[in-house]
Amino acid sequence: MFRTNLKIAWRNLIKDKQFTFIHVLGLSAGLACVLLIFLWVHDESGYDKIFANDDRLYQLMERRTYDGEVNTSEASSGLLSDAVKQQVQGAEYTAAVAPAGWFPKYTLSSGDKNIKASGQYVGPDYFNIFSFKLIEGDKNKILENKSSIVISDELAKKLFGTTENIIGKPLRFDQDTTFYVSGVFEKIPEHSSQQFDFVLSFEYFKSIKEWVTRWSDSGPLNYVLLNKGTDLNAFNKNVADVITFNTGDSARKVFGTRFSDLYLHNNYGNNATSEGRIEYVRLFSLLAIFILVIACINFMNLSTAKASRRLKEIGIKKVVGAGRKQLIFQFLAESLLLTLGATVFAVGIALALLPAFNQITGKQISLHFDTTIIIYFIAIILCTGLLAGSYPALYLSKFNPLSVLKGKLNTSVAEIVSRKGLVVFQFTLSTILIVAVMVIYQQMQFIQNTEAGYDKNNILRLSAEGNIRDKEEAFIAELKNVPGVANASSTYHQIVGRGYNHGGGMEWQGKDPNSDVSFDVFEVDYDFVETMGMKIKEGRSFSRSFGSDSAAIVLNETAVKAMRLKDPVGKTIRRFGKNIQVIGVVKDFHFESLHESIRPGYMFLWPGGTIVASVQSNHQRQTIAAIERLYGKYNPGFPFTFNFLDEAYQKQYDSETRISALSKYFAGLAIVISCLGLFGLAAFTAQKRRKEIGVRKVVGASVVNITTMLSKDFLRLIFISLAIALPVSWWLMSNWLQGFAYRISLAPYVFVIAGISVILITLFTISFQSIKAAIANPVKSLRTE
Amino acid sequence: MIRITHLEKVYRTDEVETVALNKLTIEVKEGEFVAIMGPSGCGKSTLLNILGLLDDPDSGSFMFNGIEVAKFNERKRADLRKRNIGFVFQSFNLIDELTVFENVELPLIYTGVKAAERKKRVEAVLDKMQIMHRRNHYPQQLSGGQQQRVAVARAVVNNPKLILADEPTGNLDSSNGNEVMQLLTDLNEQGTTIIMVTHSEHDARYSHRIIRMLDGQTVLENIMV
Repeated sequence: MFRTNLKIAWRNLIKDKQFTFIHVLGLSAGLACVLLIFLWVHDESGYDKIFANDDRLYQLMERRTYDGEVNTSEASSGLLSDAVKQQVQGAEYTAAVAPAGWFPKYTLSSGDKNIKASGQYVGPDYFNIFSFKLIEGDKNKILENKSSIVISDELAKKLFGTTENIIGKPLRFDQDTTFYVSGVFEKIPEHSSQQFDFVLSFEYFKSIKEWVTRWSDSGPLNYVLLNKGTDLNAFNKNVADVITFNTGDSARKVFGTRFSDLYLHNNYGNNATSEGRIEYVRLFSLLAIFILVIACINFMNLSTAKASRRLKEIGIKKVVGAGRKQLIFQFLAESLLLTLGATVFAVGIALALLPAFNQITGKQISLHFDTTIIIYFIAIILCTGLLAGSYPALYLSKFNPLSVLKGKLNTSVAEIVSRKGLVVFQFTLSTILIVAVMVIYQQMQFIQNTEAGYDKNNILRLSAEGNIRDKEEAFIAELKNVPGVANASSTYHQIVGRGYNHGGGMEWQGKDPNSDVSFDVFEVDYDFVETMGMKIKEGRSFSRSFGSDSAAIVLNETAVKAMRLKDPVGKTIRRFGKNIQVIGVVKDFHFESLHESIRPGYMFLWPGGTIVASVQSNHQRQTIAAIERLYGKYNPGFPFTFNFLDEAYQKQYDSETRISALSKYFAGLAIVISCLGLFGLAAFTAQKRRKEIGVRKVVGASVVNITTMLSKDFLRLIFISLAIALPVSWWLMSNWLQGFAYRISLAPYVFVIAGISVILITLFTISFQSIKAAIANPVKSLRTE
Repeated sequence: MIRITHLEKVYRTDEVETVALNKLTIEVKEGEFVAIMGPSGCGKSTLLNILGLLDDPDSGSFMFNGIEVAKFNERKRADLRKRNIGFVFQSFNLIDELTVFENVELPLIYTGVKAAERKKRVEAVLDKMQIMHRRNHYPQQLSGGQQQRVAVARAVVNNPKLILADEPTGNLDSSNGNEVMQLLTDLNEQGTTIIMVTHSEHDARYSHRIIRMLDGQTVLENIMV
C-alpha cells in the first residue's frame, strides 16, 4: 500500500509542477531560515559553557543603592576577591581580573621579535577557576610571582617558534619591563567570552595602579569557584555584606551569579528592560517558529486547495475499501516525504547562505552534524511534516466518497473560515515584520546621527607605550606638528564604553550626607576637550597657561546636576582628601551606548594611556604614514598599530546593526513565503471559479470586473490582517525601543507605509492569476463542464 | 441477500426538505441481476449509495446477508464493503496517476492481499477482460470502453458477492456499451449478484427484473423473461 501511495504522490507532484515548485520552495525557504537561526541560537547558547566547573563558577556582582536608585554592576573593588576568599565560607577559589578589554594591545618582545598581543591581569587562582588548558606550568604556581607571564601557545610560537622549554624565558613588555614565562595555555576557545593572548598577575597590576587597592574604586571583575555542594543562596547570604564589613558602607551589597549565564543575560536589571543577548536569542527563536508556521500554513493551504484535483482519488480509494485512518496516514506520509525533500533543499540553501550569514552575524558557524543537531533536525522535520500535513489529512479524508466522486465539494463555513484564517495569520506576521524592520532601521539611523557630544570621526588612537609613555609631552608636541594633525592629547579612558568609576571619596559643599554620586573618571591630558571637539559649557578646559591645573577638575553637565551645584565653576571639592577646584563644565557627551543614560563624570589631568589625535580627512594616508615615522623614532622595535574612534563607536551597536541586517532578510523571506502561498491560493480560487467567471463573461462582465471581483476577497483578508498587525507591532516596537535611553518616537507614517506596501504586494501577487482567469476564453471553461 | 424494509432518507438544507427514499421496501436474492429505473431525482442513486454502504439511511432496516447493517458505523461499513461489494460507475472513476494494473490492484491492497497473489489475481482478471496488453497504460491513454472494462475488472478483482453499477454504459457508444453489458451478464451467470441503475431500457433488458421508482418509492416491478 505504501508503494502505491508513494507512486500516486510522486506522480501527482510531477503532474503539477508549478504547484509542487511553490510547495517545496516555500517550505525549503522556511526551513533554510529556521536552520540558520537554529545554528545561530545553538552557537550563542554555547558561550562560556566550556569550563569544567561551570556549575560552580560564579561572578561576583555589586549592587549599590544610592538615593533609592539601584545600580548593579559586574565592576567592583580589586580587593573583593581576596576578602571573599578569607572572610566568606563556601569559596574554594577567587580571582580578581582586570580584563583585556580595558587595555590597548601591548608589545611583547623576545630577541628581535615584537608582537602586539592583548592581555589581562588576573589573580593567582585564575586557572583553578577557569579550566583553560595549560600546556606548560602548574596552575597553582604560575601566577605566584609578580614577574610571571602566562602566554598562549599561539603567542609562544610567534615569539619563540615553539611552546617547549620556554618556561623561565624573559619577555620584554612594552620594551621597558621584563616578565618571565611561567606557563603556556592552549589558545582560548572561540566560545569563551574572555579572549586574551597572555595574562599577568593581578598583584603586579595592584603595584602599578594604586586605585585598585581601594574599596571605594570600582572596575575589576571578581570570580569565585564555590566549594562542591555549596548552596548559592547560602553563599549569597554570607557574601552580601562583605563590603559593608570592610568599609562600613551599607549601600553596597555583593552577590554571585552563574558565570555562564552572563553571556546571554548580560543586563542585571538596571531599570533597563533589555535583558541582554538572551532577548535576541528569544526573538530570533520566535522568528524561526513564525517563519516555519508561515511555511507550514502555505503547505496546508496549497494542499487543501489542491484537494479538488485529488478528490476522485480519495473517493475511489474509499469506495474500494480505504478507511479514514489509511487516508490520513497517506497524506501525513506524503507531507513528511515532501518535508524531507524540502529539507534537503533547505540544507543546500543554508549552506549557500552560510558565508553571508556569518558575515552579518560576525560568527564562524559551520554546518556540522553532531548528535544534538541531528536530533533537532529530525524533530524539526517531524514537527513540520506532521503540522503541515495534519490539516489536509484530516480535511481530505473526511469527505463523503460519493459527493467526492461526483465532484461536489461542499465547503463548510468552518473550512472557509479556517483557510481564510490561515491567510490572515500569515499576513499579520508579515506586516509585523515589515513594521519591525522599519522601526529598527530608523532607530539605527537615529543612533548614527545622534551627536555623540564629540567628533567621533577622524579621531585616531594609538597606545602611549614604550618611550612615548615617558616622553609623552614631547611626543604630543611633535605629533601636533605632523601635517594633517589638527590637535592631539591623551587619556586613559576608552571614550566609548565604561572606564573606571568610583562612588565615595568626593565631598563638596551642600552634599546630601545620605546619598552619594558615582562618578566616571576621565584621566586626560591638556587639549583633550579641544582634540575631541567637545564643547565647554562654562568655565574652561585644562590649560598650560594656568599653573594649578593639576588640582583642577572639569565636570560634565550630568555631574553638576547630580551634585546639585549652582555656579559650579570656581567651587572647591575634596577628592580623596585633597582640595581640587572645578574649572569648567563640559557639555554632556555619550561615553556609553545610547542604551544607557549619560552618567555623572569628571576629567582631571593625568596624562598617558592612549594618545588621541584629530586628523584631517584629506590626505589621511600621508598623515598616518608620518605619524608612523614619528612613532618609530620614539619606539623602535614596537609594531605601529592604531585605530579610529568611530570603529569603536560603531562596535557598541554591533548587535543592533546585525539585528537590523538580519531582520531585513527574514522579513523579506517571510513576505516571499506568504506571497507564494497567496499566489497558489489565488490560482486555486481562479480555477475553482472558472465556470462562474465564464458565465459572468458571457453575460457581459469585463476583464476589469472579473479582476476586481477576484481581488476583492483577498483584499478583505489583508485588511483584517492589518487591523490585527498594526496595533500588535506598535506594542512590540514600543517595548523594543524602551531598551534605549535615547530613542525615536514611533511615527504613524511607518504603519501607513507598512500597510500600503502589504496591500500592494498582495495586489501584485494575485493580479497574475486574476487577470489570467479574467482574460481566458469563456467558451473553453464552459465547455469543460 | 438484500432485504430493505421501510427505508427512509431525507436530505435537509436550511429551507428545503427533500425526501429521497420514502419507506422503500425491496428484496434482492443472491444471484439476481436487478435493474433500477426511474426519472432523475426519484431516489435511485440514493438507494444505490445505501446499498453500497456508502451512505446510511435515516430509518428503516437494511439486512445484508442476514445482518442488520443500517446502524453500522463508517469503519464497519468500510470493512463490509471492501470484502463484499464492487462498484462500476458511469464515469469509470479510475485514478489518473495509476496504471491499469495498479488501478485494478488497489482493492486487493486494501484487503491486505500479498503482492505475489495480487499479481496473479490482477493478471487473471485483466486477461478475462481482454485488456492485459494495456496493463501498463494510464487511464487517459485508453478509450472509454477500455476504461470501463478496467473499472469492471477493478470491481470484480476481489470476487465480490455484489456488484453495484451506476449507469455503466452512460458514457459509452452502443458497441462498447453492449460489450460491458455482456461482461456484467457473464459475471452474473458465474454467480455474482448485480444491481444496476440505468436510464436505458436496452440495458435493463439484460437483467432479470426491473424495479421502477418514483419519488422514493417503487411503483412497478417487471420480471424479464
